[in-house]
Amino acid sequence: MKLTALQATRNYIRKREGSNLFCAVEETSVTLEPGTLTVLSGPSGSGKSTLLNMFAGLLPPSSGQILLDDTDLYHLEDRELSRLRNLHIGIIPQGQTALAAFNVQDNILMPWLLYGSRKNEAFSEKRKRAEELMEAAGILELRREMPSGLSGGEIRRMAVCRAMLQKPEIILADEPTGDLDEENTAVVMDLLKEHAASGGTVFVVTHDIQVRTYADRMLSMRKGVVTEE
Amino acid sequence: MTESLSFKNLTKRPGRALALALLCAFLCFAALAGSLFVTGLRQGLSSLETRLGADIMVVPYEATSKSRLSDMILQGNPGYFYMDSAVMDKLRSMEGVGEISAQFFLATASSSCCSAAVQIIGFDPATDFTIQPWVKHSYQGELGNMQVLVGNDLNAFPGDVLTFYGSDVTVAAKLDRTGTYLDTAVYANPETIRTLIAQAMEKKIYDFGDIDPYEVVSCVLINAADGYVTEDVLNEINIHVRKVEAVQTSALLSDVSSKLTGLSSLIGWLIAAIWILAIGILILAFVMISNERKKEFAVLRTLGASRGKLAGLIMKESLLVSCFGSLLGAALALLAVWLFGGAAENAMGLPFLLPKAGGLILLSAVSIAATILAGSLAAAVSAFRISGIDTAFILRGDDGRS
Ligand SMILES: Nc1ncnc2c1ncn2[C@@H]1O[C@H](COP(=O)(O)OP(=O)(O)OP(=O)(O)O)[C@@H](O)[C@H]1O
Ligand SMILES: [Mg+2]
Repeated sequence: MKLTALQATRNYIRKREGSNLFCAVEETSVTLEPGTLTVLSGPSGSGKSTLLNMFAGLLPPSSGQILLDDTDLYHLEDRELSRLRNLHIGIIPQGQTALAAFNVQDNILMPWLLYGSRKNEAFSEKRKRAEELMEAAGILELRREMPSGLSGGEIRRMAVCRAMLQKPEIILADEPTGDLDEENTAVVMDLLKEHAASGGTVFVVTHDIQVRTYADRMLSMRKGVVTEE
Repeated sequence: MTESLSFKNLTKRPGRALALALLCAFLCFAALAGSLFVTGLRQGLSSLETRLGADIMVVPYEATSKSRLSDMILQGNPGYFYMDSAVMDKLRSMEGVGEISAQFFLATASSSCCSAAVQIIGFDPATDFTIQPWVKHSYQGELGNMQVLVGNDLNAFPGDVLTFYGSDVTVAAKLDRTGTYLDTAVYANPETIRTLIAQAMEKKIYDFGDIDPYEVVSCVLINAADGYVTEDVLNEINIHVRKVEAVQTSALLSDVSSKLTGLSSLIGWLIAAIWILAIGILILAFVMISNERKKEFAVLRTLGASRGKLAGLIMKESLLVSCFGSLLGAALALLAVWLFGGAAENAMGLPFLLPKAGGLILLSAVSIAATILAGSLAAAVSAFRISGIDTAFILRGDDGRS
């Protein structure tokens, strides 16, 4: 599946400066292609997260469209969009996003648990999938741990596994290596790279120079304007 | 499978869940204990009304230093008084007198069945219209000589032999609970009572003065005949029959029923106040908790939870909590009423009769349902708020920016 921004813009109202509209993303048209790991870099405040959230179906553009293949995400009902996100778009948000009440394995299984049961065949398949992912991310032995007992890098790796559980065609990662050391960065980026190599559409927003080396395609963003590098 | 998610969420934060559950338990307890209390009093009064069951009581004039009569009837303090049985014939011949039956009172010294003195009530099976309808529930036979029926609160059972004034009587049956003074009394036919009085006098165990036990009655119960007004009949009796006083039973009870009305409305207001307060606290608690959990819900959104699903999650969590809490509260309320109902009854000096199992179940079910409804209402407020969260905005908050 491909994800397209079509003349998408996003304004915010900035209360501090009167009620002036502040344009975080200028008119942007860009298509994220399957089989490609696209890296978007740019200074803080340039609108990277804003663009990513629009791609994720979490933030409606002020004008323009976001298309998943030919479907306009923001013309869907919340229920349909949510289910679509659940099945087809894996999101690794910026920051720490562990669910504190669940252990590592249940955190990773959460996209399935939201709509599926713990009892059937399909669940044991999902669990196997989760185990494979944890194995690849090097956190298999932590599966029964609660997030409070994990390091930032381990939690990030958990979030990556969680985003990949449903084998989504699209993965959107906001600073997935933000607070990780080189080693952890490599583990996470290898997972994402692998996903792209097997036909997935991967979009990574980052400051990190190391991440650029994994890119199939480089974009940069400055003051809401996206340019190809 | 959001049920198990809700359950996990709760069990992982037991303190929070418990606090909410206890709040619900408190709600349910207040509602159930309060309403059981009020119903108990209401039923006690109506039980007393039906057991008194007559429009007019005629008693010897000296008995109407009224407190004696009402002490006896409302609080079950044993007592006795006698008048000439010729009164009976006079009353029977009066205009406006319908059903009429005599009763005999006798207070015993303590006996084997009972820690304190016992009231013995004699009634005439041929004419009685107040006691027998109630007796019929537990005893269908004809009460023989030296046989008695015992009230529900007495520690005596069918077949037991009790000794009053040196005479043995056999317990024929134990009667249904009424919640009134009748529960601590013993019932016999007039022959038995007279025999007891005679023997007590013979053995000089007790001094009844110079009465002839075969020529006295204690009180006469009267219903006004069809077409006659109770007050008129009452006045007729008080004017024309000497040395007796006719008392209207409803007047005897009016004191109790006004006390009861006051108490009921007080408890009603109390319950209402508790509920308003507790629902307010519940709403606040749910909103605070869900504010604190905004990030968690935003993460679930990124994982594909719809707004409806988040709302459902909150509602299910609150349902689990309020179910657990209200069951706990109901159980505690039943326990409290069962343990302390009797004490309260004595302290207030009012008749008290708990509803039967069916009524208990119904009241409990209503309280539990109301509590769950209140919990759901409180949760709905935060479910509504949470389902409207701006996921992108909340996820930004993580880095200390806003
Ligand atoms: N909800 C909002 N209300 C007002 N302004 C906002 C809002 N969200 C973002 N902004 C502003 O829009 C601009 C772009 O924000 P965005 O989070 O997309 O930047 P970013 O490129 O992801 O930055 P970083 O690299 O620090 O994460 C910033 O100037 C920010 O202050
Ligand atoms: Mg950002």
